[in-house]
Amino acid sequence: MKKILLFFILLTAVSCDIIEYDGETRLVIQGQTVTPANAPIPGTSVKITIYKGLNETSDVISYGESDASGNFQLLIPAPKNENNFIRVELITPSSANQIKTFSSIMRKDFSVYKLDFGQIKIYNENELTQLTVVQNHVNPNNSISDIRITSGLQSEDVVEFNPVPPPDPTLWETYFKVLNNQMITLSYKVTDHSAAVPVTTEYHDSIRIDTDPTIIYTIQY
Amino acid sequence: MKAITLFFAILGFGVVQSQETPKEKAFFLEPLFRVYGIVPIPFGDNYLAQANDAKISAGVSMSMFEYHDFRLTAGFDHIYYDVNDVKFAGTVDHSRSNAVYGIVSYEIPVVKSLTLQPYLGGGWSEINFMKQDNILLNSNNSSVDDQQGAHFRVGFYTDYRIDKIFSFFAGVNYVQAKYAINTAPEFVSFYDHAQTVQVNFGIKVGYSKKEKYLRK
Repeated sequence: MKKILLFFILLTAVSCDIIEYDGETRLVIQGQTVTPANAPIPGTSVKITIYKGLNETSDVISYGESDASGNFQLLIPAPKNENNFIRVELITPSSANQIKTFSSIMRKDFSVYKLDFGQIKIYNENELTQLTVVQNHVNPNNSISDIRITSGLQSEDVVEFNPVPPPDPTLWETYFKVLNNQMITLSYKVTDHSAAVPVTTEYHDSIRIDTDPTIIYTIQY
Repeated sequence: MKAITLFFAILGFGVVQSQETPKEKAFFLEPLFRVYGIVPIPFGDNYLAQANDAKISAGVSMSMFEYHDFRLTAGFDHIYYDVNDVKFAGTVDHSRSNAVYGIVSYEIPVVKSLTLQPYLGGGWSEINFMKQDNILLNSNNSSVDDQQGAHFRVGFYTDYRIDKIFSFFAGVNYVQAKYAINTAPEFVSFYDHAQTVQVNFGIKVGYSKKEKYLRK
């Protein structure tokens, strides 16, 4: 009897880790991979993975390649749990190109069972610079938020559809992938909590991007 | 063993019934079983035809009585498919089409040992989706629920009697199934139906209208 009970407990534990799909619901994921000059990139490998949650069980539910026009279209059975994350990874035939990933996609991001990325520009890694923004917390009364690039071209390796906020906003680094040889504007908000009513100030810093593969920019707040 | 004894008892009862029943009697208790192979030929622009390779499969059917040459039969078809297009199926390795059906057939004697039985029927259908990693105790596994539906079928059998009990048979039928689906409008018709021509061949066990054949 104990063995039977143990078996069912084990079975239940294992079942909890299963990613379940609805065979009566099919989601369409499509897009077109192109170069910065809008030339199609055929043969781009597309992989779709479902995650139960961050750092949890995953399952590759589909894969394929873009056609001669750079178009790809994959249909997958929908995860039964609408909070499961969908991740789409694009790897072009040229290893010099960036690997593009669309992450933390959820059912709510689909419209009539379809998610259309449209044209996805894939850049050569040599054309990109990784900008690391270091937040240096010098004034304990201040907090920082909403760090983003408001002008200039960027092409992130990982596009988060539903970003999870970092667990510790202090001592945090933010990463951007931006194109070389341009001026960008980095915007952010600093809130001063020393007064009874917090005061928020928005800053816009101009940063020159050359051809270095990486650049570090520090915000003192 | 009990099941076998019961089977032959029912069969024997049927034989006695048939022998003792006058020809004019419309109702005959005649248990009849078919076990058959299926060569499925899916066609059309739909999931089973376009994203799968059909395999030789199997089915069974059973009928208990005949009334005015009409026969009511219940059966089960299990058709196996290998997925050949991940684009439409996802990482599903096999699809299985199951059907539970009822048919009404009409028996037409052709010659002494040959009969033709056209039939019409329908029933429940489903598609099972089997993923390779769907293994018990696999910590990284996943499962896909079935797709439910219903179907209509029309076809015929030709039975060739080899003795009082056994017959070989072959037949052809057309099955049109309709399945539940939620997807983008342009793909609804791809996933919501299946069309299959099935070539069947197998063995029929049972006693049916012995007198009719002997008098011909």
